[in-house]
Amino acid sequence: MIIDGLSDQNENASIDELETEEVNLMFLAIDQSGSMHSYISIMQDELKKFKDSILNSKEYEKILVSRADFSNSIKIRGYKKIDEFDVDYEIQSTTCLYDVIKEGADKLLEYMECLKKQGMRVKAIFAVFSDGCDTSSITSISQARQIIEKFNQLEIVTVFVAFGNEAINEASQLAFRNILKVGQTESELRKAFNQLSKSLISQSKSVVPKKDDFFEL
Amino acid sequence: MGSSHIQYGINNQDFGFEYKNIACLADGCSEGKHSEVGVKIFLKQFKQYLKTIDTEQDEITIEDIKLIFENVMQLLISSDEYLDDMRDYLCFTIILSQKIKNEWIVTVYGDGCLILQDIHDEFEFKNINHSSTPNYLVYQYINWKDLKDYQNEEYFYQRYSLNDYKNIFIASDGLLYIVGSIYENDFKQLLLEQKEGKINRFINKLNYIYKDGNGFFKDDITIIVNIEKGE
Repeated sequence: MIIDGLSDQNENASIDELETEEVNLMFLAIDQSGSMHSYISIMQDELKKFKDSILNSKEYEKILVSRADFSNSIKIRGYKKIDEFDVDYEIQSTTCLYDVIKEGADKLLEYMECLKKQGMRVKAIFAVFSDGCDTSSITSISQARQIIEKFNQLEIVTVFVAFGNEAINEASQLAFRNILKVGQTESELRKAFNQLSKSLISQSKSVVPKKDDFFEL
Repeated sequence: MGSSHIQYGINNQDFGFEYKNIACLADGCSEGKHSEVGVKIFLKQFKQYLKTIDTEQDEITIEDIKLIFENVMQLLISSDEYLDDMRDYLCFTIILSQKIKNEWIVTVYGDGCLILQDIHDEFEFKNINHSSTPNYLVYQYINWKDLKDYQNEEYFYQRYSLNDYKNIFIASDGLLYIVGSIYENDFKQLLLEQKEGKINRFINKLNYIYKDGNGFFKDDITIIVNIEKGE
């Protein structure tokens, strides 16, 4: 298991780069397992549209996104302004979903605390896009579920974009509060990312986190 | 939001706005259960009123302030509980700053803080508390025997020349905790930059650092930094 780009605080946007008092963090874990091979070009398109949608919104200065790719390895990037969001997409093989939840959670909590100490008001979204079940994690499902349950209590908005029935079941078992059920078609995939960007923008405008109604616009 | 407000379950009672060459803030009395209601309605109505006049040419007067205040009174005060309603809804400071022609004109009913930035970028914090307790405008409309000291028209009114002062910031009196503290100079540096986000973060940070001691700023704070942002 190779884990890249972990928990070096220098990877995240520094406080000096931020002009606002408020910030909305989104951790976005993206499944790059082999089962997604039919959707590579659509994913590349949709990630670009996701980025552009946020960049063109009034809220973009208040949004930082950490993209995490997971398959048989994990790569977690720092929390950056959306203009630095990487829109590349490639696939590998397995799905280490529970491991990316664990590693992503640690990084999110660490950065949130750092920002709060600097006087920032922080809202956070912990989001996963996946088409299926975990196949290769060291972290157990119960450990991953505990993390999501803790996030639900901490008012961190938990979001799962479930591409297909297997993923829907997985999301429910992990106690994600906001599950977007997406049929395994190209058009459904496009709608899903469109909805994700709009919901992120809507959350950024909201005074309080949209814990249970993230996808309601 | 002041730490004592959090501790005692009181809403943030401080609000303000900028409109063209006007800055206005109102700071509710924490002993008024709903003073934030009176504050918000007053500020909203006052801003609406400002949109009907030419603030670049016409000086805002005490009568203008009273006109709006009396409208708010009519809205919020019930005849059978009028004393309680006066106390709970209408006890709030009003601070108004107008940049007009070659002057800053500042009017204060109650208490507050002015930050005067002179032409050499030196800052002075001015504590506006011209009576032992704040002289809220509402006291002009109450015949309470123990308020006899407040029944004269005592308010703060001052004109400052633009030849002497580059900027006048208005703030609620909660900001005065910073005067004389080790953070005063850092705060002045932020005022020079006039970046709203950074100033807000600075204040939040102090309350976070001191949270185990119930926060650095006990009272709510509103500061209006950048007049003439425009509509």
